[in-house]
Amino acid sequence: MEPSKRRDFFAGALFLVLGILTIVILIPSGVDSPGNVEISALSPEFWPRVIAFAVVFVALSLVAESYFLKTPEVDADEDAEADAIYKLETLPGTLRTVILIFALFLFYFALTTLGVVASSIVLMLAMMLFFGERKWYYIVPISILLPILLYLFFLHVAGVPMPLGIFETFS
Amino acid sequence: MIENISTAFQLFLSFENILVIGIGVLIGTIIGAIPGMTTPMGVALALPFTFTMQPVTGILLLLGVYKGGLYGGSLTAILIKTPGTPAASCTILDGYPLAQKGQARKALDIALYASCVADLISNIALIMFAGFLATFALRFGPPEFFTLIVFSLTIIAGVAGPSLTKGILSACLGLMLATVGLDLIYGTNRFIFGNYELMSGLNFIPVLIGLFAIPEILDRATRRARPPGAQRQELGSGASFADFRKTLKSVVRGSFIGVILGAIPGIGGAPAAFLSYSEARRNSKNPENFGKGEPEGVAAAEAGNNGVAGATMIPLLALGVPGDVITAVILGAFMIHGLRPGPILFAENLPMIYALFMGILLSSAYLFIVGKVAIKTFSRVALIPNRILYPIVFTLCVYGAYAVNNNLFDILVMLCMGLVGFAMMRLDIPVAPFLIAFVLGPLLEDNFRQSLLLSDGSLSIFVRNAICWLFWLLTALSIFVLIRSRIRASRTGQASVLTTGG
Repeated sequence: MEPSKRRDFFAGALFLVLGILTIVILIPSGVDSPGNVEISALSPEFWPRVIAFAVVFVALSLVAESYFLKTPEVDADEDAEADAIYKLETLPGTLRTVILIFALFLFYFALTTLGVVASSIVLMLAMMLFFGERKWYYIVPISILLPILLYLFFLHVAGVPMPLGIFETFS
Repeated sequence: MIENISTAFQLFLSFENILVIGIGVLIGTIIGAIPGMTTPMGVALALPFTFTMQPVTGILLLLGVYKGGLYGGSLTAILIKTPGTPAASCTILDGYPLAQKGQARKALDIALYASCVADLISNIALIMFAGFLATFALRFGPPEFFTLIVFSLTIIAGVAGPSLTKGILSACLGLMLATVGLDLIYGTNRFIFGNYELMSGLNFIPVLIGLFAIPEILDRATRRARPPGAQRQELGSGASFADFRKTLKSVVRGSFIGVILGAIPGIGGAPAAFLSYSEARRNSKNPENFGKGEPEGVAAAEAGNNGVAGATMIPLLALGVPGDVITAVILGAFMIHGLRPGPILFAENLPMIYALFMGILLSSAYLFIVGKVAIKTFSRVALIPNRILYPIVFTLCVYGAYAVNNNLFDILVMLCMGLVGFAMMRLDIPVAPFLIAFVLGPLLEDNFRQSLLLSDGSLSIFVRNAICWLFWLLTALSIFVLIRSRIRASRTGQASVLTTGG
């Protein structure tokens, strides 16, 4: 199987399982229906159920499609060539994505105590280094000034005070 | 009528409005020119800054960003062979060869003139047809709206990528996510699982930012920066009026192609640019020059691309149905101000619509001015490297997501949607149908249930008149055409030009 077919088959299978799980577990446990619904199509769970069945049907079609049809390339020459040169589909590449995702969620938990401004400064600094910028005269001013200027903008122009966490006393 | 127009003038004529359109076009042009930032991303990031503005002012700012973004992509396409936006990849075909011949200035001028003319034609089409369509849509009841939304979603799902199946899958996920929160009629919990933050449903803006900005950032973490094409130092002289007149026929044709494709939900700028380009080549006396630096090719591509900008607003304003991601964001902006575009808005708030029209017309003029300045300066700004750009974009995302409701939970929603968007990107499932279905989901369900309330549960209400039948027929027809083109694409290995995504 070509990679694009394998990917589509995987996507179809994944959403098939998710669709079935939604019908069997998620809807019965997640949707509260009142007992006195006269028209069944008006019940709160009717609509999610219709969508879940549609997901199952479409996922099955996708599996069939990956089996019977070829995946066309969107502007084939341009993109395929570009991807071959620029995309690093290697383990370090995947690892970098995982590290970045982990860092972004860590950032979210830091937000709750350190506040938006301080954590943004740290994150911007780290992200620029992570993405490969090495010139400190870009990194330091941008990562310090931007979060502070945005804080001031939202505070004074939009009237939204960003949470500062433990730095609240400095404001 | 006269009274409405004079009220509209009062609404429109303020220093603020006239300023923000210019700022919007400027921001849009810069964002459009930066490879790696798309116009939807730009409009999404600008949205939080408009919360405290007057509705007209805020929406005009976003429209400015939209129009600037469509044009801005052509700058880097011509100069360094790097399209700032997907639609600009068509401008490369002739723009970059012209620049390589030392005629960059001429290509840029022609792109600008074509963009402005197309924008103006598109805006006039909007003003002429939106009111007309809205009057017609006043007759729509819940079943008609239901069938209209089903039709729109089908088209959007079908043209967002090469596979209709994946588009529909994406739309279904968006519809499902839209059901989170309290039930519309009974007020019972749906998928809340004890988390009171979810009671009012997921907020549109964190979902939008998460889907359109975060995946791009995650994806770039695994890529090396794309080296730009070589830029020749001499830009040459600008285009003369005679140069422009030679391309005028293609510009006008391209504008109309843009208007027609723009008014149909889901199609957007890139297909319009390619279709306009291929029509210009087909009708040209010397088609062999296309691809080697033919000014008419640049003009046709840009006219098709910018011709959609006003026309995409027709279904949004007249029917309340967004045709692409950017108009979905603008719909979000309306909703934040408690307004709902559609026939009712035309009936009840006509001065506001007229004020928007005035601003939209002014934006064409701004596009010209900003474009003239941009040609001289922005090609350098666009070279800001991704390693600095993406941390900045991420910070803007965080502040924007928080500012919607002053709620940290929204930042978490944004991050989670970013993961969803990234997974979809890797599985090659388009995200545009997801977002539009998410926005239209409550409307679709509401119209469905109201119809059934009217008919006491009988499904026959969905075929009660010719309008419903028309939309069902159009839906069936588009599914048929899309499946056929998918099978054909499987045989030839080439996707149809219409399904390249917006």
